[in-house]
Amino acid sequence: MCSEPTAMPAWQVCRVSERRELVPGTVLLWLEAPALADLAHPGQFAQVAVPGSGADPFLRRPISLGLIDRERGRVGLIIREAGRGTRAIAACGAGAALDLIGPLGRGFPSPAGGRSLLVGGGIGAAPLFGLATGIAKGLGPHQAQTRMLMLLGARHAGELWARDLASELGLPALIATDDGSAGHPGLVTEILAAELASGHIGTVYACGPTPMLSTVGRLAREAGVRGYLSLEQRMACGVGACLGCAWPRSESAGGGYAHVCRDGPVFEATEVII
Amino acid sequence: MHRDPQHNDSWAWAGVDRAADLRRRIAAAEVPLDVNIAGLRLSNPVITASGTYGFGREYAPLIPPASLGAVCTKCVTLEPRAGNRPPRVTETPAGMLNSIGLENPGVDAFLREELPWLREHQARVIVNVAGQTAADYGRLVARLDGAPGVAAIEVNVSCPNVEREGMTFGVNPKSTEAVVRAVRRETSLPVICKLTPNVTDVSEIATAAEEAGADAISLINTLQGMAIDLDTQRPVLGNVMGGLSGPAIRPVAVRMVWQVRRACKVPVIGMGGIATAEDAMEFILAGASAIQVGSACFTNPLAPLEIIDGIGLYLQRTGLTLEQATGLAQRP
Repeated sequence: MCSEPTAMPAWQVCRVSERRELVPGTVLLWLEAPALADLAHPGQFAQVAVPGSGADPFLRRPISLGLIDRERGRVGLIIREAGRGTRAIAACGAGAALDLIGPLGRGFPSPAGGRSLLVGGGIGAAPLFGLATGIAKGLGPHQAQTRMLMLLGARHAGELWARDLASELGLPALIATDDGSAGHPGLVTEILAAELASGHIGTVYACGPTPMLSTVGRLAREAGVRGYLSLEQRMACGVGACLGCAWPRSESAGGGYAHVCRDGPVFEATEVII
Repeated sequence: MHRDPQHNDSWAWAGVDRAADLRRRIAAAEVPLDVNIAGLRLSNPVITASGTYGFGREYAPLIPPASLGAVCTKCVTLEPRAGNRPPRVTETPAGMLNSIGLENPGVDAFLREELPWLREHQARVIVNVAGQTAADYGRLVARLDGAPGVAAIEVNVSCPNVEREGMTFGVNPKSTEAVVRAVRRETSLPVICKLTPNVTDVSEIATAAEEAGADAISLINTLQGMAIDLDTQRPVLGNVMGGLSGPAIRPVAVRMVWQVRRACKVPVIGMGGIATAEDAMEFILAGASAIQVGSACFTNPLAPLEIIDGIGLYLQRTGLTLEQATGLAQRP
């Protein structure tokens, strides 16, 4: 089972304190949100809207709580401009207001013994930063640095915002790019396979494109290592009311459908069909 | 703003404070908002629409079920249903498509686990029911009839009829009539027939439902639609087609409420893209005695309370009673 969701989420309008373009099309928005920072666990998300946007875009956008800075009472959302909703959110500069419902869902559970590998593909690296910076329960920043290794994949070097952010935060990371323009030429799951073969791995955490997650789940299972996957699904309410964000559940976990907003977004790899 | 996370037992801060403020204003409202729909007595005319509000639990800390006119439940079927393959929802201009596929735990689990909770929270409960044959509907409603806490039945006729090659019950007056009759035989509770807009002449279907014994008509269910993914070059929804809801469909819904009000004597419950009190008043003026709020909750979970409050303010400003406002736009 993944970490319990917060009993109920908070709903608040937060101010953007800083906007940074990490790479073209991907921004980091720091929000002044002390209460949210206190409540949030890595892997949880918020339903985000630009106040006053009316009926269009109609739905909130689920955005993972990427950087959680409890000391300074702020939360950093890492947003890739994928459509009109995320474009409108990413366009918010310092001083702008964002309407957030969160934290929502179940985040990443704390690591087991041994080293942990944090596998992120593209924008999927975002929710892993909360884990990597040691926000997870019972793990200090120092332990996080010595016991966690980020494996970051992107299509090409120009999209490797996660490498720059990791190095800025002093987090160890290995890199793979599809076109070989940085790090290992090929898939991030190829570095994962090599790392798993080295042994001493306790837990694998992953977020990214579905084919990547599918391979991560298989590799973790074959290595006998616990794997946690953060899934993405089209979503409407975000709180478990509409049953829109269904994901097929494995027979061993009871079959039928899980709901990404309430039962996830983080699932144990064996719990879902992927 | 800063609170002890140990005490986060609700939708804290802005949300809860605003909800409490709205509830105080509603309680202090000078205009009576109560309405009686064929024996279904509601403290106000705002109902949460089936499928958008679960069984009331998710939004309860913000919107206590008792503060609503009624809760219309997620659709209930005889047997549990797993629902359709994902993706099940996608955003569209000023709205969204869904094809949830009637996912629900079945009537036994509803009676055992959900209804007692709703009753404990003093909700007026309208149970939305669906089936695959007219006899299914009858058996289902027989189970619900007499269950403590059920105030009314809403019959979802927008499901495929397995005895008629999957044709939707509600697109045909005869099969609509068959379903309503099957339900009517099994209960003395108020029966509301929820109509689909995917028909040529909604008045004809509404009249058939009325003649079969429906005490009220609710409309509109979602408009059938679809969206194509340009990256995969396939339909976005796993079920290919889905139901369109949200502000995009509102003018269609207002028009149909108007038509049904003209065609039928029984009260009308209007819905389709209602997000504000102004939207709700359009439906009421067109002829709706009560309204349902659906997908608006996803964006603004306080929408139902804001609408109750706003209807009161509108009535106060215009000096109209709710009864006088109902159908007022139809005057010669």
